Amino acid sequence: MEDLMIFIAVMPESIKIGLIYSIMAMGVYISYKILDFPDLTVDGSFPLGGFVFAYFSILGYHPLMALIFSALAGATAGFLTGFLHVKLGIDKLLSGILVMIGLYSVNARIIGTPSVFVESSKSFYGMVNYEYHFTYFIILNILLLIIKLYYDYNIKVNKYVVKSFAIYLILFAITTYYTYYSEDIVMLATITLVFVIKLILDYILTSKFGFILRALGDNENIVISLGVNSKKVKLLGLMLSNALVSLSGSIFTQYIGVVDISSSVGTIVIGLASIIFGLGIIKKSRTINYLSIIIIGSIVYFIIINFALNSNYITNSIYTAFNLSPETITKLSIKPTDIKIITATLLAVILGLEYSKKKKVK
Amino acid sequence: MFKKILLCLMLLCSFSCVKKEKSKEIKIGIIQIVAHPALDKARDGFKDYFKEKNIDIKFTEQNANAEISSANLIINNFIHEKVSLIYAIATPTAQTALNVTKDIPIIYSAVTDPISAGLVASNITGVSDRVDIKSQLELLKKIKDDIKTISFIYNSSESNSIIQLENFKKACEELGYFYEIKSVTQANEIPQAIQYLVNKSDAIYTPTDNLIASMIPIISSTFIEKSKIVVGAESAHVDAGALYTKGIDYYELGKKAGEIAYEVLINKKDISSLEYITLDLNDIKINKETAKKLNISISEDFK
Repeated sequence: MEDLMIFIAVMPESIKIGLIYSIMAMGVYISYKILDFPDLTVDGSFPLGGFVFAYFSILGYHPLMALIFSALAGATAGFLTGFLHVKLGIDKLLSGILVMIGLYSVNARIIGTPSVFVESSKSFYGMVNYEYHFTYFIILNILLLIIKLYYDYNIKVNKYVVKSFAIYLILFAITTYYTYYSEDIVMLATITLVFVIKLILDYILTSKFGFILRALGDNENIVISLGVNSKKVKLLGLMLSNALVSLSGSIFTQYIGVVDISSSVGTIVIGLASIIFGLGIIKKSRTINYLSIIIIGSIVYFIIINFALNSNYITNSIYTAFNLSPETITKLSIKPTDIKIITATLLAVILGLEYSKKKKVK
Repeated sequence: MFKKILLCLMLLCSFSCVKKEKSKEIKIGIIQIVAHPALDKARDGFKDYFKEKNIDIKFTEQNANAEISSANLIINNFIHEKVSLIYAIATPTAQTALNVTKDIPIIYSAVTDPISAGLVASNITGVSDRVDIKSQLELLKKIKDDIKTISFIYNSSESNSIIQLENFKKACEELGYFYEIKSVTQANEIPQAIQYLVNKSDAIYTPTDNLIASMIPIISSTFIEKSKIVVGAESAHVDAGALYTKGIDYYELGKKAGEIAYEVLINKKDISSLEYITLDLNDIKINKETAKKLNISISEDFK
């Protein structure tokens, strides 16, 4: 039981990391799903956000200012990728790879060391405090909910507005209760950040620009025949995507207190996995849009990683239940490096089961 | 279908309710950033210290597989598991651990410069793997006196290596050597860099760098082929083919970390009163096979 309790107790931690990475996944969603542009710049722009943040926070800028700077840096990286593809005619994948490689040197130069320690007092999370900020965050969240309701009311059929608003209200109640109970202001702050970003993105994607962006990925010729400069839209889309990725990297750096140049290799994989995984387990409907699905996918992805990390406790207790000798237990027990294959297997099993379920329905 | 999965999961989890003999043993959480020979040695040394002292301790080992987000989850697992001490191997894990907990004692090892890595707090101490590059290079003068240029290869993603690079430059300037420096980021870049360096220099110095350490065999074989010397920063390099080292052994490093952990857990010393330590670097280790290949006879007074 104890092992299970540990897994549950660490769950908020997985949710927080999942939420932070979901911002990155949203960025990958824009490039990969909407623009149909497999953008590998992500591996470089994620740490770029962290390094830019560290640079400005060491200089003494306010964390929120530093956040904006890192988003701008990410947008620049996205612009470069777009420039290579649109203006110089380099292949989509290759232009992403080129910028990603180049960003390694840039990241190494920003501070001059490959890993930087960011003091918690200089980060956004170090500044928020349960006693002072709890009510502010709650008020902010209520305001955001009202904006969301008003906005949904304008674009959706009434039935679905009520449905989705009910879900949001329940989530809001759970968050408030959880934060009040555990005094975990970091969770509330992260949720608020992700909520704000999601709302902004929702707005952008349903605006006129968003429609063109979405049409561009589906059929470029239609967009061109409408008299829209498709190259410009593509550039803007990539900039938006990488700005989000950088933002996520900078929030992650603040949360974890360290930015390391080599540990963010493979960020794109997490992004793609969250998107595909989210889309695999939840069906898009009028109540829930793609962005929410991606956020859920990213959270579930990290919960699965956490489960895999805990799996050796659980398997060990199963072995003890079968009264195996200590030698056999040490032989059979899961090694720390086995975590990856367990994560992969779990993801494959869940997706496979969902697929067979969908097939039956058809 | 979903119900079936849920049922299976519940069945699996129900095993965790099985009664386990509860002993009042001390739990130590060991977190390692990646699986790597030197770091594994630091882990084994730590565990062996407690084995030698005959203390029954439950070790929980976890590996972050080079992802900081996993490291964060692991540390949180440790906290909820109520470990009495965290043993963090290598800088990123120590930094993550310190970021998560300010109460549970943390002992680190394989950290080159704890101060610049920000590992200063009342609940953290450990063993630094700083090596005295100057005294290592002084030995080189005794072995072969016609060496002019020494090359240095390192992974630019590791902050430990950058500190060593600075020390290396300083030592070379003081001893009157020229130096040639190449940085790599991946194993596949090493062969080319080595080919360049072997033609440009008379000897090579390999730092305590995770990437370089695992590529010592190819580095040393290339240099030995041209009868040039490889100086290792730690004893594992010598095992893999470097000519000599006057420096640390990660196994000993782990043992030293175990000693500190012993002081904290058993002798109940206050961790904030313990300063981080650096190992004495007097042991010289020589690879005789390499010496034979290079036709270098190492005299007795040298040892």
